[in-house]
Amino acid sequence: MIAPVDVWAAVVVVASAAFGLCAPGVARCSPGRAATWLLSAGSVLVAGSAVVVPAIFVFVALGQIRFFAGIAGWSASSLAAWFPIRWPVAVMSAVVLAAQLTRSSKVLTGRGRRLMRAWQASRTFDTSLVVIPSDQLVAFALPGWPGRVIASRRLLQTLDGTERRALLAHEQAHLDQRHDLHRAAAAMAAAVNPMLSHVPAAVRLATERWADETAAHAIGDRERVAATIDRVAATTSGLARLSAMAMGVGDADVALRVAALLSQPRHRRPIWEALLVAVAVLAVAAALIGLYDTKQVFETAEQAYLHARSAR
Amino acid sequence: MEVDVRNQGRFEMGAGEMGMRRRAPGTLEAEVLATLWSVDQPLSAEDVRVRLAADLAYTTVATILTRLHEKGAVNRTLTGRVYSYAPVLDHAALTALRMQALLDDESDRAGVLNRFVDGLDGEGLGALREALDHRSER
Repeated sequence: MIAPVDVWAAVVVVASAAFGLCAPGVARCSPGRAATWLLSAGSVLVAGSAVVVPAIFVFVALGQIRFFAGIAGWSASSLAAWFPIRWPVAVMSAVVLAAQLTRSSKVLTGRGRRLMRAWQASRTFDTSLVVIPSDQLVAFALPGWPGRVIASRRLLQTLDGTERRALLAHEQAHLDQRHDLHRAAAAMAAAVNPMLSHVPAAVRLATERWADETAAHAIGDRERVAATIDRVAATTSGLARLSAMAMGVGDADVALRVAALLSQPRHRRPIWEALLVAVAVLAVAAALIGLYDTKQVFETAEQAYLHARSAR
Repeated sequence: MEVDVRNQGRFEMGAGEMGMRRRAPGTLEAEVLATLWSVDQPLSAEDVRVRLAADLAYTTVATILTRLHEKGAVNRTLTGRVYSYAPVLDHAALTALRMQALLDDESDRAGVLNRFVDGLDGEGLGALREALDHRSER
């Protein structure tokens, strides 16, 4: 054993907390693409290690029950000697594991079903843009293989040629860059590990900024994209906002997006990004070492069991 | 004839877009459709090209319109010697409307789907105005 598993568990908890606290802030200052990948991939790594730790505790605690040990063929007392677990810790780990399972299956059934419906619907369209005859100002990306852009007729009439191009490039970027998968990954990670609860909103903002940056690149004018967002926001926030359709979230994302477009393009922050990656990798490494140590302990307990039997 | 137009279109697409930024595939089709939907009367290929706010060859636009017609996404009528194109409202719009209902669902706040601009509260709008004013002062 390299160190007691408690140490590795503590490393995972501290790394999760550090990632959950710092990642959204670092992402906000990075370009959209780097921010998105950092958040989604990093949170998946951290969440994965956060499942391994309680699973180890529960498994070892069960292994120390004589009944299970007898069936599986290892020595319960050897296991308890090498890897003592107090009952409160075992019960707490079981509760954590159960909570992780229920929360992630809820996300899977809820969000997964929505995603499936979107994917199925997008397959039925044969043009890359589908227009709805609506008086609301609405446009969204319907993810799928391939995904499709949906826009209301009224919105297309409201915008001029360049603004329409900006809008379409923005929505197409959501589809081409598979932002649906990044968001789903972050949602699953946050369900498994509550310390990552701010990550999904951060991924959402990062993907919006990534799409804005792509649109700005496509039309070659950051300010025009900002002005387009502003115009649609101002119009929807006025009259239409009172209708059922725009009941949506009142968040400050739009303001942050416009501000980001009007300021200089963000530069990569290699040191901060590397630090966050290191934290995520540290969590995974700690979980893997804990897993390896546990395997060793079980092998020792197995040998002790065989030894005891042949001595009898 | 139609085969000719297509080949030309492909050739011109390369030449016409030389100085332009790269487009994601499918964007051009979406832009042409969006242009047709943005006005109330049918448009000829030349009308569309002029309104596209992008430096595209006539044949490129004509090719896209022909393909859209084959897909049944637009109607065309012969006016004089050129075709005029008008967008078609079909069952796809119904499916899209159902997807909009999914978008509006309160429980989807976490964002499987995302509208281009989300609702803004007073505070967000204030911050936005401030950012824009700040910009124009400079």
